[in-house]
Amino acid sequence: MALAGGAVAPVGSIADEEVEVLRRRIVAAVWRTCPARLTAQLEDLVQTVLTQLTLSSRRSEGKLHFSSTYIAKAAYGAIVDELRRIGRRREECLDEAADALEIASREAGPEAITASREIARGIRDCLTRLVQSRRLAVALYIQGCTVPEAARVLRWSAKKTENLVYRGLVDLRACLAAKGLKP
Amino acid sequence: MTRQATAEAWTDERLRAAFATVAEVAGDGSTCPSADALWACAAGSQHGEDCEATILHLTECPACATAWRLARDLQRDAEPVVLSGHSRWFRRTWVQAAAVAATLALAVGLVAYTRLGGLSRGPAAEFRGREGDWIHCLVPADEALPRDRCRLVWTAGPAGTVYDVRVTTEDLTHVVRALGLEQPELVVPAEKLAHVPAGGNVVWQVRAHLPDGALADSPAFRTAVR
Repeated sequence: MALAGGAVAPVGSIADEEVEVLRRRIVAAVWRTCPARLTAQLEDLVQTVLTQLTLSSRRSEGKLHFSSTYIAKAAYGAIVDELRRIGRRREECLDEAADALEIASREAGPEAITASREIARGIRDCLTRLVQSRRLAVALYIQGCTVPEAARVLRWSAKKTENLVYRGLVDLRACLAAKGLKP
Repeated sequence: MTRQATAEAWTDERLRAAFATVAEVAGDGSTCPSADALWACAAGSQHGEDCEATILHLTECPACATAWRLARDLQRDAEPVVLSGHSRWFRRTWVQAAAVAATLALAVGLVAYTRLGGLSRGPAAEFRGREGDWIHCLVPADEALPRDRCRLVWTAGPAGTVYDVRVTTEDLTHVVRALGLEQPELVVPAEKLAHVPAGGNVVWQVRAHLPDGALADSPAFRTAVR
């Protein structure tokens, strides 16, 4: 990541007050970003981001200078890393109770787990069968994007995006129905 | 059910909810796009082909799909939800009036404190330094709330406490965030619950800003939604 201008400062020379101000900004960013299931790791995440930023610190007018967006992105990066670590641990240790959805699934019973996984596999399989342009449009749409949002991300016109979402959804529904998958 | 009827049963909301509840992790993450790439793609600032590759990856990797939704929600949520509906002018005027009132109250308080030789511990004192363990969910644990009346309620702090609340689905999808609530309750708009399947849970957490400036974070609560 590129930082705003300024010379690199040795960590040892950063005043405690500056670090404390930065820490508070990081706490706010992590709090805004952190998913509920990582609440227990909030302090660790703050420390990770703080270490990352102080090690790559740059100064502007004698102060540590990071924009809010930069701090938000650093917090987001730390959280994505943590989510992936959890994912890897879960693959290694399937009975680990770290994942809220797994807990919910266990409460729902083995039949619900099987059905949920079957549907998950079905949706993924049906998505991969779509023509690429429809797959892109539908992927964003079922990720919760509106048509204008999907159009902005894909840099397509709203009309083109709307058509592809519509046709893609028709294909996806037909594929799920052909597999006998019901909601 | 005919094939046509089955296809029609997959409404947009059901497709989105089913896709969002995919929790399996594909691969070891070594082929996943970087967090920067996910962020840039969600922001619409990634180069066309790179962004398309990222999106195609989302259809195969639920972990990245979750991370991408998180980035999108953060960017979409730059302006937090304000539930009061007051105009900016009202809020500015209200804040100025509150500042004057607070200054007057502080002056009166200081005089009283000086004359009376100190006050007993204020009501906020008992709520400090307890890391929010006094904040309890007041929605009955065995009750699933109707989605058109999803009212989350928690124990109140001392008078003057203001609350921030964050609500997500169990798979981290953002539902709503409310800041500056003056009452210990939040009614989640029904349309914000589109990602929550019937019988699914929302996960929510309260941050209380006590009148003396202290912060208290509640544990995460789970509430079922019908």
